[in-house]
Amino acid sequence: MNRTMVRELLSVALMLSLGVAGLVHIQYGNWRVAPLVPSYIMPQTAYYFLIASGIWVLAMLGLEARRRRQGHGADEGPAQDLVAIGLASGLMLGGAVVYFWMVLNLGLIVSTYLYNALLIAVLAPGARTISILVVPLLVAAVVWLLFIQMIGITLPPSLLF
Amino acid sequence: MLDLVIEASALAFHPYVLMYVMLGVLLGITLGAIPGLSGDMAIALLLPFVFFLEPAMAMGLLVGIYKGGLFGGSIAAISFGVPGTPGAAATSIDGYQAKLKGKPSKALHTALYSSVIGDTTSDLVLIFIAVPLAAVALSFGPIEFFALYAFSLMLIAALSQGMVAKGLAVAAIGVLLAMIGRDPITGSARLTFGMPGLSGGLSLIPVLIGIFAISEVVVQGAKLWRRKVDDLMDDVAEQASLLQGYDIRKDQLSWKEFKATLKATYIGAAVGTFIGALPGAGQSLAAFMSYGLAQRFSKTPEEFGKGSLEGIASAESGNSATAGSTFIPLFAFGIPGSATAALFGAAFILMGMTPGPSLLNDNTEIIYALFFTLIFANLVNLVLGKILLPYYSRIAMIQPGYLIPAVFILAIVGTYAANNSVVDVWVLLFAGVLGVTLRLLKFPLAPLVLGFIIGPGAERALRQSMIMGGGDWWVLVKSPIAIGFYVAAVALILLFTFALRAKK
Repeated sequence: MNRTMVRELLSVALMLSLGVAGLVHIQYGNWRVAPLVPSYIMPQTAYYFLIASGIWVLAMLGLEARRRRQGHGADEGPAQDLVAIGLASGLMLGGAVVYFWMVLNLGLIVSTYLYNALLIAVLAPGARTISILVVPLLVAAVVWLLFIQMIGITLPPSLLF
Repeated sequence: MLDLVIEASALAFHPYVLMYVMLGVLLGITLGAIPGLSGDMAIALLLPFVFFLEPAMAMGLLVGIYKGGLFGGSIAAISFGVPGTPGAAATSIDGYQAKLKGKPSKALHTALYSSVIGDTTSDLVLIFIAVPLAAVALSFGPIEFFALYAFSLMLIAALSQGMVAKGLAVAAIGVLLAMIGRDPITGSARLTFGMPGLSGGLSLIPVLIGIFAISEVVVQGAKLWRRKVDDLMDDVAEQASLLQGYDIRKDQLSWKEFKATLKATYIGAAVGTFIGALPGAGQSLAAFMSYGLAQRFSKTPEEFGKGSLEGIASAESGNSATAGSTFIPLFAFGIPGSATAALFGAAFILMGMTPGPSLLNDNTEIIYALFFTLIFANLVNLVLGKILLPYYSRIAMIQPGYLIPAVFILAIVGTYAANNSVVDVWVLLFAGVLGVTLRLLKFPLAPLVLGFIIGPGAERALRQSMIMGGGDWWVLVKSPIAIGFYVAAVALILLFTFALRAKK
């Protein structure tokens, strides 16, 4: 199965599952009933749109598959590409959760320095050690100046600074 | 009226405001020139700082970034054939060919001049049309407003990337996100799933930064990780080496050449202004339609695609001419017609101003100052662009590996700083995950933001209409104005669907 097909099937799955789950939630959840205008009137409309859109994309996919069988349309790369980017994105966002936990417990400046250095080491191809050590220092200094000195954000007491 | 103009100009031309405009234009061009980073992302990142600035200064900064970003996208498009922003894709067709033919300076200057002309035209149309339209909007009732919201959602969903079904689905997700929190009529909690932190609803800042900035840097970072950018950077370095031995004195744009591009520039200005005023049509469509029309009316259509300066002028003017008119629906009806307008709408809300017909009445001075700022930012764009043009193409060489981590960290800490709220950071990361998922699955993001912003207004209008109609859905099509909106939506969707097909 090619990349476009996998992507579109995942999209359909997302739309239909969200739409159906939402309607089930409206049916069995604890919603406040008001005369003429129940709380769920707008969410319910949105869920119907999600389901209709999912069916629409599915129909278009069927037509596209038929065209391909008849020899039209170009093939694309394998589906693994999508999985790899998805996995890498998951790791970056997971890192952000750890970073913010560190900000709350270890301190803003230390966490910013460490996390920035780690990201540069991972993301900048062929970065020199001096860059990995100095650039995060500059970013940490900017964060300190902007958020602590100029804006004065309040953070819970932490282990370091 | 004269007093108002004097007061507004005093606000707009305050030295600090001018400084923020210049800073914004510089930032916008810099970010726009780097492939993958956009002015929208910078505006989203700066939203938390809007709290700490005077409204005129904040608007100056955001307007500067927006306008700088529009032109910045053409720098990478012409220098390396990599559009810095989606709107610059049409510019790259002839721009990159012109560069390969040894005319990068002519191409960049044509892009700069046509961008400024298109942008200024669009700003003037905004200034003269938004005020009368807002007066019309004041006579709308809930039925007409619901039709207008539905019109905007349908149009933006259908035209964002030519994917109607996915656009509608993502707009529905935006509306659902806006429904999280307390129901304004019954007071009961909706879609909070027992989490008390969500009972107040989702804040604008974390949702917008998560959807635009976090998702963009995460996807860029993920691509970097896979070393895909290695190839891109090698390509960029290789292209840059082509310029060795190049003599800039032989590559100056003459008055005659500039004059020859004016017709294409005006076509782009007209098309871009019209397209920009429609919710969802966007810069990319405006640029391609301008390019197509300019080719049709050109004396040398065969030169298009081979480095034609007319091609560059029409595409760039069409792209930039959406800048002013995209605010028309926001100012007149409170409906953001594009992702950028949605970000500006969010900025207005953060500054305590409600986008819509009352915006002009309640904040006349600030809005007129904004009009002056829009025009002034074009001048700054022209002057800074002219002075710094030789250096800008090098900006695209900055390694994203150093920029992405800093942007990522600023987004997280900036979101926390806006309200000192830990919940906002978790919402930001959730919105980031959602944005990444939608980007990977090729959903357009603008309809989601529009759905999120106008969701509460649309719900209010729907529920008021239903009460007026005694629960009968047919009440929604009982007003001639409402019917006009629905018919116009279908007609425009069909028109642009055919136009997009012709483009392909």
